[in-house]
Amino acid sequence: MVGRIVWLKWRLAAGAVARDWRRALALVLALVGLLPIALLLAVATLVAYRRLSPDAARELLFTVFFTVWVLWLLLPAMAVSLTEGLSPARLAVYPVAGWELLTGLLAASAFGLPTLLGGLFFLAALAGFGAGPLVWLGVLLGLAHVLVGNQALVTLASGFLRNRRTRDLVALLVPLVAASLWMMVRFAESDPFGSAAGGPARDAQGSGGPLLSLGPSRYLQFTPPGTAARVVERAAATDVPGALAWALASAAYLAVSVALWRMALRRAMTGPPPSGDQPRPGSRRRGLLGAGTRGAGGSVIARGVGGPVLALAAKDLRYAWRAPRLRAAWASAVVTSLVLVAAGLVRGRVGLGPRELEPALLLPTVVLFGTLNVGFNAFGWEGHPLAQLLAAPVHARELLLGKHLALGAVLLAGVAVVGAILAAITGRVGETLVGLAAAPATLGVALAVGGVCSALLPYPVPDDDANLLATSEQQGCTVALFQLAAFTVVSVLLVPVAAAVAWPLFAGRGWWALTLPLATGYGLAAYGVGLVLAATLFERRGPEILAATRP
Amino acid sequence: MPVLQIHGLAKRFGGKAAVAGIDLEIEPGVFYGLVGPNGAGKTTTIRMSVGMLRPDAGRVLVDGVDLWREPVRAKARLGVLPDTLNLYERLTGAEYVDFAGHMQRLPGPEVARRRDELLGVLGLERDAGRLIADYSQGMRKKVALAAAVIHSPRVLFLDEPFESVDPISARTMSEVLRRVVAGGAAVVMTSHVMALVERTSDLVGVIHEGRLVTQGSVEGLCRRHGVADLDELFYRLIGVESLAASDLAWLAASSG
Repeated sequence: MVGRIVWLKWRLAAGAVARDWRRALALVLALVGLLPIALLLAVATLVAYRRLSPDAARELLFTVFFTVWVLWLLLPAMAVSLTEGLSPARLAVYPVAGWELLTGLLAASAFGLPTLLGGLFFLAALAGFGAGPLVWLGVLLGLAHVLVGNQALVTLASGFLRNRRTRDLVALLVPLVAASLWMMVRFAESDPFGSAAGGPARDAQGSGGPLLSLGPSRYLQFTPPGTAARVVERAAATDVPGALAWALASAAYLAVSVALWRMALRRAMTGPPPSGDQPRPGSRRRGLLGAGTRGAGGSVIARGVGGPVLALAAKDLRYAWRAPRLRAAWASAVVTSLVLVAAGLVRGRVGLGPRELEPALLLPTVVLFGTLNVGFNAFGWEGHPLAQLLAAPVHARELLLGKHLALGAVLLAGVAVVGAILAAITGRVGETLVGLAAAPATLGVALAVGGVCSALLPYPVPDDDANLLATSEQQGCTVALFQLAAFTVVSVLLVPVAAAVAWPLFAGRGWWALTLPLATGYGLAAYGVGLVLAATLFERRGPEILAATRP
Repeated sequence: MPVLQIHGLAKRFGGKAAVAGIDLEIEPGVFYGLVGPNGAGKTTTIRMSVGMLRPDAGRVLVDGVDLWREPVRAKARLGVLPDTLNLYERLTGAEYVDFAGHMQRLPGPEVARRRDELLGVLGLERDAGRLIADYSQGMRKKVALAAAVIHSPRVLFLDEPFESVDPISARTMSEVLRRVVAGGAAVVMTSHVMALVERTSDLVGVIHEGRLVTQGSVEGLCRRHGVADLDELFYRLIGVESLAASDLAWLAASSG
């Protein structure tokens, strides 16, 4: 039976890869991209274990064991894309004993990409601390903690993880983990052991970098992976009683994890289906942007809406907050902007045009980046419900206006926030205000071209909350080339706006009073032309656009 | 004058004719049941009749307005409950019905009044503030029906409206639909549940391989084909193969 469960997991994974070439490609890319990185990092830790002072090596060991454990717990949980393999409830109909299920799931999880990648770090610890029997024991305990811990977490929280709201939270977790990894890389670059100022020899004398002075082992030793790391460290120091004592503590942790997992498994196999499928009697929820239980109350947005344009704008504003994929799209636009600003902080300047003009040019650039993702595939982002819009007695220009209204509101609000940060950092309030004044013109031009693109080459946006970066098959080379061409057109069309911002710097700043209103007028005119073109295209190609955007 | 006129509607996908020239006229106040096996062309016909799919040939007139020439005018007279519900899952039930009312250009206070009444009648009042993503399938059907009728359409298309709906909700939905018909609108419904079609429909059309093979009242059709009910008529017209006695004989023994 154990073998059958391992086989099932493999068949499901292999079937998913064989059925979808994108998954196969993702697996190959993960192997090609991640394996060398993991190998490099593991070798680096091995070298560090051998070359650093014992104290520094110990701190590194604890950090590595703990990091691998946390990532192992988090990453599979984030990728819980409702695969049958993660649902023990499906096995409930078969005569499988509890221990068979535990062993089968554990064995199945032991053969996978995470094990391969994480296992390299355990191998490095084994090689770095001398492969004595107690070191082996410590490393195996470390590995057992990640395998059991992950299974226990996924099973314990399986209903929760499949819950729609949790998937919404996971949407925020993805950039958070990515940001943490980025910070870790920055930390590693900052010479955590102080080797640049003396290296291992200096560590041996009791000084060292931030990692050593932080001493994470003091705190991490009480965590499950910390106990395993302590076994390795004690064994390497030939403290056999100490290593054995810590091994006992580690085994106790492991026993608790297994007991928890078993309990969760029983619940998962016999409990109710995850929420989101069934209504919860009596549960009420007030919409984030209004609409209470009777919907008549609600926020200003909900109350004031009337007519198709405003109704659509209100719907899009609600979606901007509630739909994880849209939120991720907005988040990436905001992160891009903030990275630009942060780069300016770190290097003293952003590198966008003449230094005096940076704030003025940065803000329109933020608008442009913000429009690219959603504004250039407006109908694709609608997904299945686009059929509703097509069946409604609404003119195409009204649809586009409604969507653009929401997009513009979100973007201009975001740009105002970025502008405030920028002004605070650079102290160039005047230039920031010029940038803010140029933002609507940029928005007009970008939305004009974006609207035409949306009608000319729409493509589906997969509605996959478990994979916010999922792309559709149609999102290939043609779309990329088309968008590049569209971006070029936008850039050319934005030359007058850029000139309106830049020219007064040389001719006299007073000219801004004339050039900025002119730029706004130009943006409005461009938007008008784009809107008419896009609406005409949509009216001619409505059903075709619907067919092209079906996820 | 017929409220819905479909003339020579046809659509091919690749080499296969999904709909091969359908003609249909439905008078006001008629409940029309469209039945047929999977892949017969029912959904394609509906999608072409509401403007979601461009036909290769044919015309659709809604209350005398050509759907493909004057789509906005025609769609104002149409209501649709598609098979794949295509709902905005991240709106609450109330927000969604509100949205549908505004898209139909109803005045704000009227939208609010109708929304509250519809949600109350359909038993969704308590759940009106929850996101549709958290609704059961039956609740989704009901909220989709509310959105489809909020503007009192002249023609209402329903694709498998009672699928996954519990009997009590189905009864409520049927009552709403009867009210729509009594108000002079035409309802076109597809379903695989023959008993339901027989019970609700004034007229029935059987569609097979993209063609309307027969239509009329249930009694008239049964009499004409010499069968007892719609179920039998359907099997007679479409043709089904029964299992031979020797097939799956091992199922008779328990695995004990």
